[in-house]
Amino acid sequence: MPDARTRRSSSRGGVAAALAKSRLGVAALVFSVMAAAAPLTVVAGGATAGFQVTGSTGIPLAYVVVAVILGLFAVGYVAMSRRIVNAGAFYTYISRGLGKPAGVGGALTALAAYGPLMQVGLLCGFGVVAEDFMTTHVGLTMPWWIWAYAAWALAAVLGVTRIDLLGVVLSVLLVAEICVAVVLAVVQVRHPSGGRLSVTTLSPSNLLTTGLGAALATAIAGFVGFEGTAVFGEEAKDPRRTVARATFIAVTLIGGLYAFCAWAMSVAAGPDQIVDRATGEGSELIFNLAAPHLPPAVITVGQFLLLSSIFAAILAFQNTQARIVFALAREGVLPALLGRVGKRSKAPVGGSITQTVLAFFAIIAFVLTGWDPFTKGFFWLTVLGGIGVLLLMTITSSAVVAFFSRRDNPAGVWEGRVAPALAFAALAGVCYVTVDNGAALFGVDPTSGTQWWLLGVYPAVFIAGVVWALILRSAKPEVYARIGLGAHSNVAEVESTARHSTTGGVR
Amino acid sequence: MHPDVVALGLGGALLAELMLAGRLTSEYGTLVVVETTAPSDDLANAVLARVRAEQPWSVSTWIAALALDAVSDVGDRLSAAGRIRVERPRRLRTLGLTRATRFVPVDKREAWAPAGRIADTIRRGEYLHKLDAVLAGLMVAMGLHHEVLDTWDPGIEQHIRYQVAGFVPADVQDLISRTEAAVGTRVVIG
Repeated sequence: MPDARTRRSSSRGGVAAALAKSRLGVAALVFSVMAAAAPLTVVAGGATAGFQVTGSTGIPLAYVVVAVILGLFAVGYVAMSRRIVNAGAFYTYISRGLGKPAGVGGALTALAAYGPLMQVGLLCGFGVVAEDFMTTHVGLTMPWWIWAYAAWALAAVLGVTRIDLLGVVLSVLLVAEICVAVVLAVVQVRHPSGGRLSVTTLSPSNLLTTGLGAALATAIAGFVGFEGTAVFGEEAKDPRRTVARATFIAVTLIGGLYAFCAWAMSVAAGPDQIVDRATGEGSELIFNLAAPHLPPAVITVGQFLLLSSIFAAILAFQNTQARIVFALAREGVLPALLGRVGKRSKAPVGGSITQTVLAFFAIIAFVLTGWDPFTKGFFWLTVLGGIGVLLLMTITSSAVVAFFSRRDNPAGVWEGRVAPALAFAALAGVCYVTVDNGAALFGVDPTSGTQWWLLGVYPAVFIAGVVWALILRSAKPEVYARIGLGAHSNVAEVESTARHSTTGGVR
Repeated sequence: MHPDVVALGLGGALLAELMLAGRLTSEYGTLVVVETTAPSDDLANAVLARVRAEQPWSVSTWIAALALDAVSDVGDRLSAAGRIRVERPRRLRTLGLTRATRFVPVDKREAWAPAGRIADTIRRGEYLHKLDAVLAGLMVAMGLHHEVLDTWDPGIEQHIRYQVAGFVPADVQDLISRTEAAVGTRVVIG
């Protein structure tokens, strides 16, 4: 055995260099966020649904506007992420900015939006798209829920095992799906309807129509997961710069891709036709518009990649949900049993299984009641989930404002005051018009009141969270003290460490 | 066990050794050298030399930094002392498959002795030795306690935490907490 002392002094640089080498750079962070965003699902499903529901041609522009709003939001969000532990989960920011009761309310809002709504909605969507794909291309006819359960089972297994090889496979599929989305868009732009390239849908006047709120709400749902970069704050090469750069690059890339693809569809279909065709053809529209100009195999591959993209999103929500449950269980806000970790996989097994069980019963409910898995499953649930994320971002942006308005959290005027205030105003505005357009967004009769039943989920869970936090405050003050700290909830004097580590460079 | 979790646990353990030996301590989360006399153990000595050579970093940073090589460092130390055999499955590697090196205890009974001692002491409702309490605390931090102590008693975690709070020096307690936080952060990041 070589002498440990000489080996060390000769082969190693400083601690910072050694750690930086083992940690993630900008590209890896951007990639992790893109994977959660599931680009082809958003472009094929989200953008067409946007045209259809809002009846507005402003969808491409809505993606640009949302990217700008979220870019503004990210300024304060990233600045705050450097000053707190357990960065990355929105409820942490809410706890630190608006207080612990609001934090638990935010946590439950996230748990409602990500798992039961978004993921179950995507499972329904996967079932419907897979049924279609398998019938057409494989000749295998089985009901949608068989395919939904197949995806459910795979997500359940992957959620607790974390097979590295699968991560590689999903990364390859992600690159492929982005390529396909760009190829389809380029083909569509090269074959404009009526032979003339139209930029009508990019005119700002599009946003001043009645469907504005709905358009923005649909667009914002496509950015879910962009906040994930901050989770890696502690693992990033240079926490100050890497996370900030990665977040802005991710928002720009995602926004640019969505806007370009949505615009391309409007060009190929014709700005006057896009709403009608999106209504009639749904997620097939993106393929139908390019099909005459491409070999059929490309279209088939694209349709397959849409399936893998939806699955990647299902898995991303499974894992996000599991991590939030894990963090809350570590704090003691949820039962400790839910905080269990897989020995070999290091996966948050407790949280993952919770979501698996929940999704199992949710799909059964659709089978037994005969609810339409596309409109009531995929559409309602993902739109409602998207609204939940919008609410969460809005509350978080107000928490960032509140956090930096306190004397003990000094920050620059732009990152601590102006940008967060602008972001909050913009997000609150989007919230208002979204709720105002609720009936149109869900495609229900405004007088039926259905939209209020659906939207009412959020005030209900938020208030439940606040009440639970207040109960903890009087019944278990030691648990209350740890709210918002997640994995760090067991560390004493966390405040002083957090302050120290921000001045110390690497955490 | 997941290799990342093992590495972080061993990173924490290397620091715990030096804290218990009175060489290192922590002040407001920063690792501080209090005594520079060289420890008899080569690896401990090397770790102490590294800490002395660097600017002050947080305890958490040191856990992560030592974790990078902790598995091979501790493996080397144990095999040099003749306590374990290192098995590197060569055939798999020639096939292009990489498989983690296996560390096999030479004397199984000796390897499991601390676990058995800790489990027995807890079962009898007695107090743990300081060193055993540190070991048990690190097990809990890594989420290993049920397997290593071979029990599914749900109260065991609370029991160990109680003993750690009672018999482990404050700086080592803090170190154990930070090791647990580092493991938890790994779980969240995936």
